[in-house]
Amino acid sequence: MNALPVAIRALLELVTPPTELPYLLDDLSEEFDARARTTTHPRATLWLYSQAIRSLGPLAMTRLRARRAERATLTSGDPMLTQLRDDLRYSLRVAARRPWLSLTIIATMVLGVGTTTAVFSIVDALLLRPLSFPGPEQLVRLTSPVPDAPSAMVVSVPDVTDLERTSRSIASLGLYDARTVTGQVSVEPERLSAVLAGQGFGETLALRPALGRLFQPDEYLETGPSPVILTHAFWASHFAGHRDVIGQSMIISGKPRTIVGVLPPLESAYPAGVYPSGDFDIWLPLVIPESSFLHDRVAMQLSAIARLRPGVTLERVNTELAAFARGLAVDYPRTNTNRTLQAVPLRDTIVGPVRPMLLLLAAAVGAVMLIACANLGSLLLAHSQSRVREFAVRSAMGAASSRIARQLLVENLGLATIGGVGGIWLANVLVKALVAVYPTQLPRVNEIGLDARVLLVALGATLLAGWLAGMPLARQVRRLDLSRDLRELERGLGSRHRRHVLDGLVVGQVATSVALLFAAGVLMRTFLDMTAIQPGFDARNVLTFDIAISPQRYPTPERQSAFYDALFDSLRTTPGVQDVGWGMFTPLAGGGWGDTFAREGTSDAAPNLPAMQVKMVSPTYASALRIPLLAGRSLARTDGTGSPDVALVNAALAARYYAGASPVGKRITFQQRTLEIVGVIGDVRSQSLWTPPSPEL
Amino acid sequence: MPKARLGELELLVMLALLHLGADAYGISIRQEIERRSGHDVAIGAIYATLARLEEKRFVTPWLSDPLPVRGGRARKHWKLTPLGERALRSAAASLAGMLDGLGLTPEPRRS
Repeated sequence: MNALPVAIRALLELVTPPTELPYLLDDLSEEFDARARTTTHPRATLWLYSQAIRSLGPLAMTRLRARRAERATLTSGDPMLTQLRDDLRYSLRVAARRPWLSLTIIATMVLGVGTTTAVFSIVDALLLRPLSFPGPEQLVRLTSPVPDAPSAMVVSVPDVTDLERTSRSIASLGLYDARTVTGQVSVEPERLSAVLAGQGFGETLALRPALGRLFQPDEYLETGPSPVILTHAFWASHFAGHRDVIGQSMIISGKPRTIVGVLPPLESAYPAGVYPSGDFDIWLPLVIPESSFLHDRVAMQLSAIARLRPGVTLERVNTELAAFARGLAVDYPRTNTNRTLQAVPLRDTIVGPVRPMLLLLAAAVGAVMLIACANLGSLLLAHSQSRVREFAVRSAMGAASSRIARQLLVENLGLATIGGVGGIWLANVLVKALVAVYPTQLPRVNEIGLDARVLLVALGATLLAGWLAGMPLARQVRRLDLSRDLRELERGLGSRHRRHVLDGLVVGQVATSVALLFAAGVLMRTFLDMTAIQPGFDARNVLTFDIAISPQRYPTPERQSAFYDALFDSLRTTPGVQDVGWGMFTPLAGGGWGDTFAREGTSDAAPNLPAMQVKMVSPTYASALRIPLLAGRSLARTDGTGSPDVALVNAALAARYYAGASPVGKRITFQQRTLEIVGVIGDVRSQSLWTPPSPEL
Repeated sequence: MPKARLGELELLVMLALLHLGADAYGISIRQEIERRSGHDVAIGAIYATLARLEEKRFVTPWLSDPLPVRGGRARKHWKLTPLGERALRSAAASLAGMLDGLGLTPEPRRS
């Protein structure tokens, strides 16, 4: 038997009572089969569609009739409901009689409710809803601000290890980092975002794996086994949610790893150091080898989160951290002078930067909504002039004024509801558009969406707007004075009371408009400031990509260097490519590595060493990004492994530490190596557009 | 119960039920009407008419034994109720009365 096309099924499903549907479909396919056997298949298909389409009308009628019969038994005899039904029916007639007014009201409502709901759904997801980890209010991010990098959120490993041993306010903490790795599930290798989870990271977040387990202590050792944990999304997309993935192995960066767990589905972005919001694929254990430079207090590379003990406030933990940092500064003056430790609520670190903008936006949209309501109110009031006679006649025939007022409210709420439904639709579109335009700027982006809370707010906004807009008119009707109104109508004047209300509405409208103008001005200003900042490099026609090479296949620096040389030679000869450069970090994306250095020939000594951000780049990094060379020469290919060590500094470093004199030709000591500064380049905004450039090497 | 008159399609469906007897179900009714009257009726219209007739208590459904060929699903068959038979007979009588003496010859049927 041939299966019926999906379109046919869907069409018929719309109008056929569910109990009849299987019989109907069986019947159709029976004759369709017979026809397909005797005539041609296309002709049979044509017959099928004609049958289905011609069936829609009669079936829909049957359904409607059944529903109407049901409703008749529901409402007969109930005066409240009958009245309401009458009100609704009458409202429809009134609305149809003045289509332009009705359409205006609906359109205003759609815009008002749509924007309000869209903005609320974003504010809700970002600011109001707690993070989706258990006990989110106890989660903090540990940061270690130092002068010159006050916004860097990284900490040093020994500092945190000491802290974990001694702290009384912290229940548990975990270090972590993020990295891109090459992974291979089936045949094609692909680039995966990995969280490098230190010991205690998952436990601090209180994550309960959906399958399997978190990492075990021996897996954090250099010599231990090599496990991997999948995020829920990655498991669903790459393993189709099969429960037998535990124990399977996948190849990551050339090394087979055993899948030991699957994380629960999390709405919240994983807190990651480098990425503002991360859709991560896998977790790897953060292995810190004995010989790693990370064991040096100087190196601040990793991020840390901590869970506070129950009842511990942010103030208390920060007091403790400050005292602890002072102790470290005494014990390790070389590295820890001027270094502090701070706990910041995890949610603030995720949504921090956009908070003021969001609040401003929310206020602005609230003002728009109020203006919309005021507009509707005055519109309705103005229009009521034409209905005074109708109300007067109705009340003369014995209608209670409350009945007329209710009729009016039903009218407005009806229109408002239509507008509200449209508004929810608009909000959906707006939110999708916003998320599509700013996927990386907005944190927690995968949490944004319309849910029950947002719909509730939309409903509330709709009812409130309908009520507010209808109120002035309804109040006026309550004070209906037959003789006076009819007389005034004859003279063509509005009542004094109505003019008062109208005046009030106009005043309110002007006030909210002014507020809105201010808000818009501020927003505009912020936007202009943002776009006016020179990033320090030319982003036009620049493409970036990340690569990571397997340490197994390229074990020595020479082989790695050879691989990169070959890669860039072939890229450079690609038609259309002008320049190729590489570096550890791309501009604006954040990242970097803070360190100190000593100027040769000066009294620079610990603990007062100058600080800077270090970036490792290829000779052509600056020229590919069109970063201007201000003095000296650029790096050359011959400056690589084996030749004297050289460095470029940015203008900020030259200005800060060489006080206007040219640093070209000067030598500095940095990590027990002596480097010669060969050139000065322009400043680039490394962290974000808002962060001023800091000294860079 | 007020005396209900039958629409054309209702009449056709009820007559088809009589012709088909125990074989009357959705598509066979449609085919029977097409074969005998030349009307190509949509299957949805047949269902709608049957629902209306059932409301008037003129027809009643019964389920056949599951068919092995159709994936084991039963068919919903229809038959006239005594009330339906009476309504059909009175409709036939009024039609016959109206036709009597007119000498209308049926036009040759299009296939």
